[in-house]
Amino acid sequence: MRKFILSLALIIVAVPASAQQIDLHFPELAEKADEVVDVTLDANMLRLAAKFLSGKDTDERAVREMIGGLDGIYVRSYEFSEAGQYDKNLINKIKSQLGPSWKPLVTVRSKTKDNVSIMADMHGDKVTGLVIIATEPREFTIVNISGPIDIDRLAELSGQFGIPEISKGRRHRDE
Amino acid sequence: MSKRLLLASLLFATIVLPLHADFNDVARAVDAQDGVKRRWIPFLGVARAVVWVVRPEGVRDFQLVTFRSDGEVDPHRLQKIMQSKAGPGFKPLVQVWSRRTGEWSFIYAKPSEEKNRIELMVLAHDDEDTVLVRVDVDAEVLARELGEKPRGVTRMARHE
Repeated sequence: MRKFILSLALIIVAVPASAQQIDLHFPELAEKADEVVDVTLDANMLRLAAKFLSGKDTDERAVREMIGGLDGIYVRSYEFSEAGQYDKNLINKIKSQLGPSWKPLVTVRSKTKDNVSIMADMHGDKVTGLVIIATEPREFTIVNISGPIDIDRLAELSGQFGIPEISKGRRHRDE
Repeated sequence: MSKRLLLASLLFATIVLPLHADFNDVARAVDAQDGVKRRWIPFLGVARAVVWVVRPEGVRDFQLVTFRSDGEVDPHRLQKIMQSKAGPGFKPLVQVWSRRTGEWSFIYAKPSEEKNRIELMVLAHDDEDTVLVRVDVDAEVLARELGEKPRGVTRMARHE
């Protein structure tokens, strides 16, 4: 019994520190979408993907070091033929899966163009997970990066492994 | 090439090369679909045997089956075939489809127990063809070869 209680306590303590798996299964979106991109890179695949990146090129070396410690990168992107094809409550449904350690980092809202929401799983000053939700009237993209992340070097993943390009200084007049 | 040598090569390719139940299961299941007709590619077994021995650019083995579109194919069925028949260890890596262009691609990967080795199984479908390919590559060798020969790779990509 003591062993059981000890194991249970260990699990309870260990769970918040481990990367949170988020359910990214959206069959209803895939059914309606015109174009679908689904990228799943778990830790094993990331280690292998890292081998394809050059150790000589500075940018590639930086990405290689960054992904070496990650648990997974998951990208789901849906493009629709018309606006309003996805349920806007989906964003809240995704956010409701995130525990109390998840904090909003960046929120960009626009009535007519893209909305971006970036949430980070914070443990002290360490980020152990990231969820990026980018929506446009005809597009819905979610990226989940699981594992320890150096926020300063996050931009290096932009444009890699299906992660959309992160451009600096993007502004909309209607924001 | 003498007939005897040709026969020996074919026999070698058929008997000696490892059979991959997962690949064959997917190929058979795709072949059983309405709207596709399997194409026979001559000397593919011999080419596979050569790759198996020479291991060009880190490629250790490959298998390829092509199908001609012969009517409507339900790509969802192809997706389910990959999900159910790709075999243990194979995981979906990239799945992309476009209803606009009619192109569907499913890339499954299986990291090998041997360091640096990876098996990729790709099922790509468009209005004209369906292609199933399995490659077993040494990631490090392939990356090194690609890194050292960027001009060659660019030429290959441009079909020059």
